[in-house]
Amino acid sequence: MNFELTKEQQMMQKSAIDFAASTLEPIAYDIDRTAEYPSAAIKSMAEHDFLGMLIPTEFEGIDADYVSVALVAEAFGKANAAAAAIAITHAVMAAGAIAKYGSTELKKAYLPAMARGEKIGGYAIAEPGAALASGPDKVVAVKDGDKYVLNGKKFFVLNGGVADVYIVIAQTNEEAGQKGVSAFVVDADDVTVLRSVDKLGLRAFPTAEIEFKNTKAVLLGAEEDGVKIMTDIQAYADVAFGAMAIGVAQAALEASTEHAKTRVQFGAPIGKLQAVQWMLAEIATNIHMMKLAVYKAAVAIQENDDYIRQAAFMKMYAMKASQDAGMNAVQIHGGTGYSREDKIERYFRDIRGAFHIENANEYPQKTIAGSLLR
Amino acid sequence: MFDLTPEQLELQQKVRSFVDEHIRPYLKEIDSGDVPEHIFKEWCKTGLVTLVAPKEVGGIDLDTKSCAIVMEELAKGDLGIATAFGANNLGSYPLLIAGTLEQQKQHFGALLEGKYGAFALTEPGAGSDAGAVATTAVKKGNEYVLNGTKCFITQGGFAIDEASSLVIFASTDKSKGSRGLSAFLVPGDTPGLSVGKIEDKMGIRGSQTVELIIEDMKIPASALLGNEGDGMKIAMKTLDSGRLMVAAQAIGAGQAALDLTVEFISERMDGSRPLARQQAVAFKLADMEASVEAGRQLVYRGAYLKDNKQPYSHHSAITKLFATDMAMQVARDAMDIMGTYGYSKDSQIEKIWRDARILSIYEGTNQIQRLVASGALLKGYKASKEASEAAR
Repeated sequence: MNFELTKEQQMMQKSAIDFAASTLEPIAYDIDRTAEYPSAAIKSMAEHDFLGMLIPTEFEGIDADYVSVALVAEAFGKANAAAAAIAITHAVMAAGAIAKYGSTELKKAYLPAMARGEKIGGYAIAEPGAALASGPDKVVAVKDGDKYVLNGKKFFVLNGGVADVYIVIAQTNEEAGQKGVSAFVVDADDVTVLRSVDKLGLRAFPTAEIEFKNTKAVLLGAEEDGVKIMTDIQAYADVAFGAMAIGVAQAALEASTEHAKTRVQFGAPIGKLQAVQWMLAEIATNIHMMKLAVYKAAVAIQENDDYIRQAAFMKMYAMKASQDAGMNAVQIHGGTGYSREDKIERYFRDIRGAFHIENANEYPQKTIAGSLLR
Repeated sequence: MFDLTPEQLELQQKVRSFVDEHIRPYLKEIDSGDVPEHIFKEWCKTGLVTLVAPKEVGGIDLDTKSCAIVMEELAKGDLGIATAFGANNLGSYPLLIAGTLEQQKQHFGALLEGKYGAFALTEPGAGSDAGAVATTAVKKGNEYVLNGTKCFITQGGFAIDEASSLVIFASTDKSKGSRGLSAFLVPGDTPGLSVGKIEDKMGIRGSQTVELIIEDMKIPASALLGNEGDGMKIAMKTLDSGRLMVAAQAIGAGQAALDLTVEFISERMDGSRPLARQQAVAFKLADMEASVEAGRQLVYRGAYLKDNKQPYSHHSAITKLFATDMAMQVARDAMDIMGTYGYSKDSQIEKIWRDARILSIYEGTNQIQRLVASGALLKGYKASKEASEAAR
């Protein structure tokens, strides 16, 4: 039971905080308004090795431990949550998946380019109008020699439209329904981007609807390993997005504390009012508890110890805690917190995205209750 | 007493039709931030533009429950539009509380012609602390000269128009603090009144929110509502009424979120089964409905108290508190259920979620409602204890 960061983790944290302050924070307001992909900042992330966090050194990555990944996500989230989400999707959900499940051939083909930021990774799971493998547009994969051919549509593809390579979950066994899915690596060249999907928050984080028409795909892992891989990658991603939410909440807390000190009503700063103090205390406690849960899960990932369940515990708590933090920050700011001139309303919209940009109906409760009843 | 009268049902239907025809098709336009005036023009044709105008001045003098029905239905269509249209009523309560017949004729005459009304109390330094109003009104002969800045004024930019009508609060005696506050009836085209910053808001973008700059604005002494120093009392009574309407709007927003969720769950497949077969999802609907309906009954009870001339300030505070927090929670629940779709702008829920977030802030933050309600409870206890001790 040791809560100290290692020297390496401290260095990683410092470099992430410095990078976020100099490169990500200054553009955060503007890219929220324009919903423009911050390509220069992402290139710069690659130069600072943040895109290859989970890529082994032999493929030009830095093979960081998962606590370090969470520290980076937190630092980025505090400065610019949309940029954090782009980095998490690329580094964890795409490159991370290939690094963990890909054949040597796949790793060689993609990872060095992904570490250098020459290829950006995306992740495609949600489908239009229905849960995975349920609707009329579901993505179905058919074997064709040593490759597969995909047909169907994906809604809300993460890094959709900007990615060069996608991890795609597609049905390979129709009879097995939602369990009969497999994971694939797909080149963007062979994919049609139908439209970009605008969202409430994380607006510069590209999400798109894409279509596969006889699109060639390479299997990741074994056939019908889809559920296992998807569950695994999403546990990794949830922990990173949880760390991102901590960052956003921390930024909101700092702004709220400052506001409580400087906004004068009834002849004194509103921070003198108990009702305001209690809201600040609640945000700080939410952050504190999220940190314990997120970093506990990050350590569990690193040690390969029951991390799917640890991530589920974290998500169950943090889904609510992160939103409550956003709610309280807006409330402390009053009318100012509702204005788009202030960053508070962006924090509120962005933090909502931390746990709502992946598959809709994957409840952490299922994982936890399932483990109890098994 | 729990049923709507035939007249109220007819009114409800009328507003629903208006929403279907003139609001729903324009939701994207409304949310873009260009306040769509064509909707207000159509609204003027319904005869519902000023719900509370007395019959003496040609109004329909609607009962409070009917007003609540109108506000709920409008807000179910779009909370921003309901806020914008509601500003006419908010700006009119001060006239009902303290206006002479002459002043009422001037004010409601303008509104019934399709001009905007507005209520200008809040200032950069006077939000929850309304007593801190820094705008001054200095009497010079038979005139008052006003100077100051108002902010977050709903429809304020439109109210600055020929023959529109605003109520502006200013201090006539700074030394008396909130007891030195006075209310004035101000035609929109008065020289010295101008629009400053127009707020770019997260939600309720169908309503306009502006800063009003008041520079050496001269108005006749007859513009004073009630007496000098009545301002705080007028403002508080206005907000008692306004809060019931905000609560009614919250019910509309909550109902809209619930309706969308029922539709989503009904239409969506999860594997080979409808999503509705998941208890975690379906049970949530029951919680959402229970809280929307509880809020609605609080609103109706508040309307009953007001229309029967019983004290309702305390009830109004808990109604606003409950209904607005409820609406936000229901919007959150709806978005939780809708997952990625709910987070995208393909869904309508993300707009409702943004819109609903204002409800616990405007017309008295929910912290102020707690102050009012807890104060009333504690005062009531003290009074009854003193009474029983006196009787002993």
